[in-house]
Amino acid sequence: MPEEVLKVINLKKRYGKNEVIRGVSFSINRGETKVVIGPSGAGKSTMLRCLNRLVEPDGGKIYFNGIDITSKDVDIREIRSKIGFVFQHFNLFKHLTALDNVKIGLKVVKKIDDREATERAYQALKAVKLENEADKYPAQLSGGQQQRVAIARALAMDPEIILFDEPTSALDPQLVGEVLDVMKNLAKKHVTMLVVTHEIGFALSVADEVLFFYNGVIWEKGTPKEIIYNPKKKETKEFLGRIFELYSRGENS
Amino acid sequence: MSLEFIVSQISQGIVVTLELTALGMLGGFLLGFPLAVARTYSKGFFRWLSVGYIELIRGTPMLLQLYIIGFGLPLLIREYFPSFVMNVFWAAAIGMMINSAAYQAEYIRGAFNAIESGQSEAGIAMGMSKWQIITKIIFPQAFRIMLPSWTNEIIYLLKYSSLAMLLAVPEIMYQAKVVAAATFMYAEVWLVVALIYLTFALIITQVMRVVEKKIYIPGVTMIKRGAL
Amino acid sequence: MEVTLQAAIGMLLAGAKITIILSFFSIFLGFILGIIVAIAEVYGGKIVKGIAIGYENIIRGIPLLAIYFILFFSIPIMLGIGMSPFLAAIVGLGIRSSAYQSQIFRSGIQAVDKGQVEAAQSLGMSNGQIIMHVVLPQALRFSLPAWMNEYTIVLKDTSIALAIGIIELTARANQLVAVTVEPFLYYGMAGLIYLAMVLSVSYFAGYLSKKYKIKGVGGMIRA
Repeated sequence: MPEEVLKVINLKKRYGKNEVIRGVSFSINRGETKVVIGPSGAGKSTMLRCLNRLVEPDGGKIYFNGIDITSKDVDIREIRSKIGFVFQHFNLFKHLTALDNVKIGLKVVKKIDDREATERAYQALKAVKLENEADKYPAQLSGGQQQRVAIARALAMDPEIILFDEPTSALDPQLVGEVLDVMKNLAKKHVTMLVVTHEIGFALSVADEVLFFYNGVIWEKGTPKEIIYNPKKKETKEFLGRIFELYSRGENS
Repeated sequence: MSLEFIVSQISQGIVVTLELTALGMLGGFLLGFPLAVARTYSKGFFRWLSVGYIELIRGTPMLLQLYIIGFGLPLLIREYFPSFVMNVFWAAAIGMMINSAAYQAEYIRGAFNAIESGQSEAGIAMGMSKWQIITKIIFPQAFRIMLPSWTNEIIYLLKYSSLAMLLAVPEIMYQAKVVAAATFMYAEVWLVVALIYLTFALIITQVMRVVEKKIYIPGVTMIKRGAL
Repeated sequence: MEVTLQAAIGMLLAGAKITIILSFFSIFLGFILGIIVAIAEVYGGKIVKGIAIGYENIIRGIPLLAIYFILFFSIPIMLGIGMSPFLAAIVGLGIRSSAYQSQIFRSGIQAVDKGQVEAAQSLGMSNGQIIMHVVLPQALRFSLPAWMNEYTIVLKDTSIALAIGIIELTARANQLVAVTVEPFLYYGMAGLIYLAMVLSVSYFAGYLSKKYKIKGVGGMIRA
C-alpha cells in the first residue's frame, strides 16, 4: 500500500481579484518524483510556496503525512523542517560557507550538536559532490555549485519531501546539467520530490508523473511519455511545441 | 609657559574628544537601531515617527542641535528640578548621540535593504523562527555591510566633536584655545591640533580596515548602486 | 526682553540670507577645486595623483572648525596673508567641500566606461577634448544626486562659520536666545528654516536628475 506523503485538495489562492490557483488537487506517494510543467507566470511557483505555507493559501486542504497543515493549530515551523525547498535563485546564506549553509538548519532548527551536524552536512555535500568546496562562501562558487549546496542544505534536514522551484532556470546553460544530474540521482534513490521545471528531458528520464499546470489548475496529467509525446489537450500541445522549439533553437546556436 | 603645561592641556582635550566620539557612536547606535528597524519593517505610527526624526535631524545643522541641547534642555529640566545644573560635556554628548542616531539609522537601514529577501525566505522554509532569522541571517550580514559606513561615522563624529568647543566643553579645540591664550602661539597651536585630528582619523581608518579584513566574507558587501 | 515675532523673523531671515550666500560661494569654490582634484586623481601621473589623493585625505581628516582657525589665525601670522571673516568662511568651507566633491566626481568619472574613451581616441580627440566633451558631461550627471547631497551638507555647515564671527542663521538665533532666553522658540524657528532649505534642495535634486536624465545615463542614486 503506497503511503501518501503529500495530498492537496482543491487548493486556491488569489491576489486581489486575480485568482492564481483555482482549485488544484494531487498527491505524492513516498519515493515518487512528480514534475510540474506549464507556462511562466501561471502560478506554479505560488502553488509550490503554498505547500509549506511560505504563501498562505486561501482555500483547500494540504495533508502532510495525513496531517492537515493548513490548520492554524499545527506548528508550521516543525512541518517546514520536514519539507525541503530548493529555490530558483538558490537563496544561500551569503555569510556562511557551503558547509555552514548546510549545517545551520540542523543546528538552529533541529538542535543537533555541532559534531553530528558537521558529519551530516558533510555527507549531504558528498551526495552533491561538493565535499571539496565545503569551506567556500557562496560568492566563490558557480551558480551550479550554489544550487547543489542548496540541494544539500535541503537534503541534510532529512526531509520527507523536497520541493524544487525551477531549480535550473537561473543558471547558465552549461551549468544546468550538473544540477539535473544531482536531482536524477536523488530520484533514483527514491527521495520524494515535487519539481517545477521546464526541463522536459529530466521529466522523461525520472518522473513518475507529469502535471501540466495551466490557467490555475492542473490541466492534464499522466506519465511523462503520455504528456510529452502524446498530449491530449490543445494547450498542452501548444506549450510543449514552444518548449521544443526553444530547445532546438538553443542546440543550433 | 612650560611644554609640560601644553602637553597636559592638549592630552586632557584628546581624552574628552575621544570620549565624546565614543559616546556619540554608542548612543547613536542604540538609538539608531530601533529607528532603522521602525523605518524598514514597521508601518504606520512608528515608521512615521522614525522618518520624521531622521529627516528632522538630517535637515538641520549639528551645531544648532548642540545649542538646543546645551541651552534648551537645562531650562526644561529646571522647571521640575530648580537646582539642576547641566554639565556641558553631557549636553554635547547627548547632542552628538541624537545627531548620530539619525545617520546610523540610515546606514543600518541600507544594510538591511542590501540583504536579499530570498535568504529570509530560505530561513523560513527550513523552519527557522523570525528571531533566528534576524540573529543568524540578517545581523551577521548587516554588521559587515555597514562597517565601512560606521568607519565614516566615527571619523565624522571625531571631527564634529570639535563643535563642543562652542559649548565650552574642554575638548581638543577648547584646550588649544587655552594654550594659545597662555602661550601666544596662535599660529602653531591650530596646525598641531589639525595634525592630531588627522592622526586619529588615520589610526581609526587603519584599525577599521584591519577589522573589515578580519571579518570579510566574499559577497557580503554593500551592493554598489549606479555610479557610487 | 521682548522681541516681536516680526522682528525675530526678520533677523532670522537676514541670517538665512547670509547662510545661502555663504553656501553658494563655498559650493562653487569646492566645485572648481573638486573637479581639478578629481581629474588629477584619475588622469594624473604618479606625482600629481599622489598630491591630489594626499590633499583629499588630509582635508577630510581635519574638522572644519580647525580649518577655519588655521585660515583665520595661523595663516595671517605665518604668511602675512590676512582674510576677512567672510572670505575665510568661504575659503574654509570651499576647501573642505572640495575634498568631498572630488570623491564624488572621481566616482562619476570612473563610471564612464573605458570603451567610450577609446572610441573618442580613435576619432582623434585630444585628452582635453575627451575630458570636456565625453567624460565630464556624463560624469557630472552621474554625480548629481551625491553632489546635491553635498550641497545640503555645505548648507548646514555654514553654521560653523559663526565661530569666526559670521552672523548667519544660527548666530542670529543665538542672539535672539541671548536676549529672550527662549532657546526652543528661536532655535526651533532657525531649525525650521534650515529644514526648509535642505528639503528644497533635495526636492530640486529630484527634479534636476529627472530633467537631465539621458536614457541609459545615470539615474537617481540614493546619496
